[in-house]
Amino acid sequence: MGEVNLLDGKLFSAGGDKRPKTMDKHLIFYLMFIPTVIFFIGGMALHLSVWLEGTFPGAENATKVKKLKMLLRRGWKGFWLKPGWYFRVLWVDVIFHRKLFRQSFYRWVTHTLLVVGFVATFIVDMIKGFSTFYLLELSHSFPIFSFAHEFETGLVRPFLDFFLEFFSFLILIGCVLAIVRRFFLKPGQLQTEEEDIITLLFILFLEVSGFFIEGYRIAHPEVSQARVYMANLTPASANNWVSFGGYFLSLFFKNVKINADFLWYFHVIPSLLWFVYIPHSKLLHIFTSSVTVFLNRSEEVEH
Amino acid sequence: MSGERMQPLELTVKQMIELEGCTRCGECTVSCPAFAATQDRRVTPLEAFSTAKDWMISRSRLKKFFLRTRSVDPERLKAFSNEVFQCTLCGHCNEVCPVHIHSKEMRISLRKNIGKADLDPPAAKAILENLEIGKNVVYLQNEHRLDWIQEMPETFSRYTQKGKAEVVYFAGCVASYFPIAFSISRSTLQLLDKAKVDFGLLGPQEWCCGWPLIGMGKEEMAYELMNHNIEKINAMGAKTLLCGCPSCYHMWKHQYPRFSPKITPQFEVIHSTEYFVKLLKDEKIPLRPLEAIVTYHDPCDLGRASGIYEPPREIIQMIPKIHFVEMGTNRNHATCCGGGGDLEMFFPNVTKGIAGLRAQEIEETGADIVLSACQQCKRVLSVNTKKLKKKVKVQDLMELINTLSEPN
Repeated sequence: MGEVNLLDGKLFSAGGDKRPKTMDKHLIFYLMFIPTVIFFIGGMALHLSVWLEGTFPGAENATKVKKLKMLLRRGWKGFWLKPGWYFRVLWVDVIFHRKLFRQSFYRWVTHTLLVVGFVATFIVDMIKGFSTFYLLELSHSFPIFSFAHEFETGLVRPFLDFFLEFFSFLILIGCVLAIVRRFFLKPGQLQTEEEDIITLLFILFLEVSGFFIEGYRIAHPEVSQARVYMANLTPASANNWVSFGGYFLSLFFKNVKINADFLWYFHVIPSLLWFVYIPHSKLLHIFTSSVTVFLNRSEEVEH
Repeated sequence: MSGERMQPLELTVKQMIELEGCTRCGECTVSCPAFAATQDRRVTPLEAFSTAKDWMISRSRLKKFFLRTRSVDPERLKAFSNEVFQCTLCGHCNEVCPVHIHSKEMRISLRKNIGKADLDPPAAKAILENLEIGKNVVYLQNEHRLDWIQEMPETFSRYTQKGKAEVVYFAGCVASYFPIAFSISRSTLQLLDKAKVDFGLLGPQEWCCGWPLIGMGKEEMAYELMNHNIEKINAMGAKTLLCGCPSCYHMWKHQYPRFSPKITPQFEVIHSTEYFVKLLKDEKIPLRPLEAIVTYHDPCDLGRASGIYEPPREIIQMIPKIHFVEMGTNRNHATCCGGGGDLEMFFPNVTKGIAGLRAQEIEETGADIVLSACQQCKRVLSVNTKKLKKKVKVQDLMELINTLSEPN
């Protein structure tokens, strides 16, 4: 395994055979990531194509492209007519889920933990990945980006670690609550189908494997120092304890040795598969239900 | 038959997205009165959406493969027709859906598609004939629309001959053709007379409002009825159209504008409970006290569909000495009586089952009288509470306040 000089913050060391090793990891990642995005977009496009088979009031014979344009134009215009209303609906009905809150506190907590957890984790992960990878790289050519070091080893890092851990923990609790409701409480209204099981197992696996990797990273600082996997590019932190879940698990991993490459695939491949799975499962409701809420709330207000 | 090319499912883009916005959480199943009565999940919005989604996708092999859907062949659609029509269009599913899916409107669209595939339930033919020829849901002619007035004092017939009137009372098909509901229109007439309102009736010129057609997904057939009714009421110079039937009211108030009829109505549409609450507040109709426990059944088309919850309750509270109790489910979560959405015409046993459930809720209140503000609710609940030997008396609000406005 090649070594990279951590202190200069460079992802790719200038030294000889170490560089291709790290490059391979990126190549492998992009070789998996790009098809994932293509499959995701393809899945979404199939659904979009089905939706656009519907009629559009006032333009019954319009082509799918024309309908899409009209839909986007109408949405855009509608937004600028009352942006405050849209933000309120986004907050109250889409994110806060007011109706569910009134119906069942248990379901509301479960759903909110999952929604907030995923949205926040996604945002924090993006910030962390973008700053400690691209910005850090750019900072060598453009000193204006040197603030990115704060995200990797500086002041911002413990906050990123903590929030990532915290929001992942929320997802895990939400997932456990959903599993308890679906498989133990079993309310009569609920019918558990194959995709419900797959979705919950996916979430559970992604979260558990994420904590597992973080624990292993903390327990074995040499892994991140050598940067052999991409699940967490950042080097060992002086404040590892802020990653409370991973830190706790790390106490058990001190004497455990696992192939770091395997660990990486263990988390990344299911993550990408999950992404591909979204358009083909109930997870599609992330998009469709949100659009439905906006469309129908505006009609209800008019009514 | 399974080899035949399937009729495409025609929905709006919004409805297509709605079908995939359903998370199958089951809230609509719990709230569905047809499911409560039949325990058959296939009648619930959730399952109807599922089949509709399959129908929507199953015409394209590529999409069917990638989007993992079940096959929907014409045989399956036949069964689907029965499932889609087992619904009262009560709209409770709309009310409880966490993602605001308009299931009731979707159900009507699905019925429309079923009709286009020529798979309407067998009973539909006779009803459509009645509406096409007789302009009402019951008979092939409309001349008997005023039969209910025959047993009233002679003086009341003058209201049927007025060419002009401030208020037109739109009795509706149920109160005009079902003897059990005659006393609602009679009571309304007597109350208007007592309050000295300048009102008139359309008589045989009153045609069905068109709601049963909309409910069956035959909106194109409803245009003729809508235009005729508007034209006749405009011709009377009416400023107010008084509807006794919540479905007629909902149709006039919310559906007519949506369909942009040829002729613009020149009058305001009002339900009898809204109208009489004003007259009672103005003390134009004095009421005797009533010592009884009463409860109120919210008609779906008046409550959930039109948002009228308070006027009927205000009327009840205005009756001296009355003891009013709410039912376990009320207002926007009130259980349907079972009589809506053309259900009784197609699946009378399901209506009976739903009415039985509502009768049970009524009994649990300990009320002597259950009041409603709908001719169909009164009819369905009266028949079924009697069959179930429940002691409660079913009355329409108009009947009660008319009785209480008479000298003792």
